[in-house]
Amino acid sequence: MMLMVSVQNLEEAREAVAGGADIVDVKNLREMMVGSNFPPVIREVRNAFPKQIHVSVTLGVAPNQAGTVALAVYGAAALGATSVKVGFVQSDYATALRILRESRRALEGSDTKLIAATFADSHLYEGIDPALVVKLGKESRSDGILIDTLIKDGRNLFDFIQEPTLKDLVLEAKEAGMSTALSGALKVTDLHALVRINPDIVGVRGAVCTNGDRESGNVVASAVAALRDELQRRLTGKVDVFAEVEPSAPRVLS
Amino acid sequence: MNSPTVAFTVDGTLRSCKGAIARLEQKFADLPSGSLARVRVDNVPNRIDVRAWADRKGHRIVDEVRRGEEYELLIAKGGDPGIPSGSGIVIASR
Repeated sequence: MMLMVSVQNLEEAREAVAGGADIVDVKNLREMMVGSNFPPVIREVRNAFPKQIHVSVTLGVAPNQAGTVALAVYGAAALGATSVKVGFVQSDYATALRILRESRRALEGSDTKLIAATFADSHLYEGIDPALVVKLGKESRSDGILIDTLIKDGRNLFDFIQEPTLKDLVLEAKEAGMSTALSGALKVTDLHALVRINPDIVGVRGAVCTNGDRESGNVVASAVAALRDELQRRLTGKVDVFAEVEPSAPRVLS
Repeated sequence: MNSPTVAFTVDGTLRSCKGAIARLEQKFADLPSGSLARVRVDNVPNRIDVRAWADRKGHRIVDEVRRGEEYELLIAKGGDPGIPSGSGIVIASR
């Protein structure tokens, strides 16, 4: 499971990577909660790290204009982004699908991966049902899916979608050959459930910011490292999150 | 006894956005029933997921070995009657 940390600038990206982040997700909180950052910032972050550190770009609140979004997606690829996430606020399925298909076309010949994103709290603002994200990803030939939250009022992913539903969506996406990411005000206390769900990527910001504040705080390496360590302890079984569901006990040969 | 021929190996221990199941699905798709795949994973949830995926898809876990924190599973694509199934996992020393 890879750890993705949302950052707003190079300084935060350096902190995230120093703390053990696998992916730095460049966004701009001043343009809504999951807004897009400026090309020079993205370029600066991309150029600061080797390719094995993934740099994702958020187009979190894409307008319902396929050409505009496709051009932005093309721009993300031109900047060397590992992946570009296209999310929809007030949209409908057909429009989102068209936008993602045009985004797919815009990435032809590029190594940049296309991620279809929906929001778990989309019912609050007439967005797309998050349960449709796998269908949307498959039909648009996206490389991966992300389920995030837009509202940042203290509620998080699990306040809107229960663990079994998330598990089903993640498995369905994996079986369709896509990468899977979960995000949305996630905290250390959510790691048990996240490890049981087992997405390929877990995304955080507030949990690794000073004072736990995703907006006024800054990403700090020590908090990233602490979260990374807690995640690793659960992945390796040092903290058992599977007590009731692990398959048959190992047979030990002498 | 000859070792069975393994059609492909998926290394799920690499740092990759796309996990073991996604790659197993893609590679198994064009192979006949009974084809064998080896998959390595390095954590408990991936091991559980691979086993659950195999169950759901009608594939069989033929063998499983643990080396430290890594698990190596041998999976037979569903529909093959001829490959004996292992009864559990073997813990090997590093």
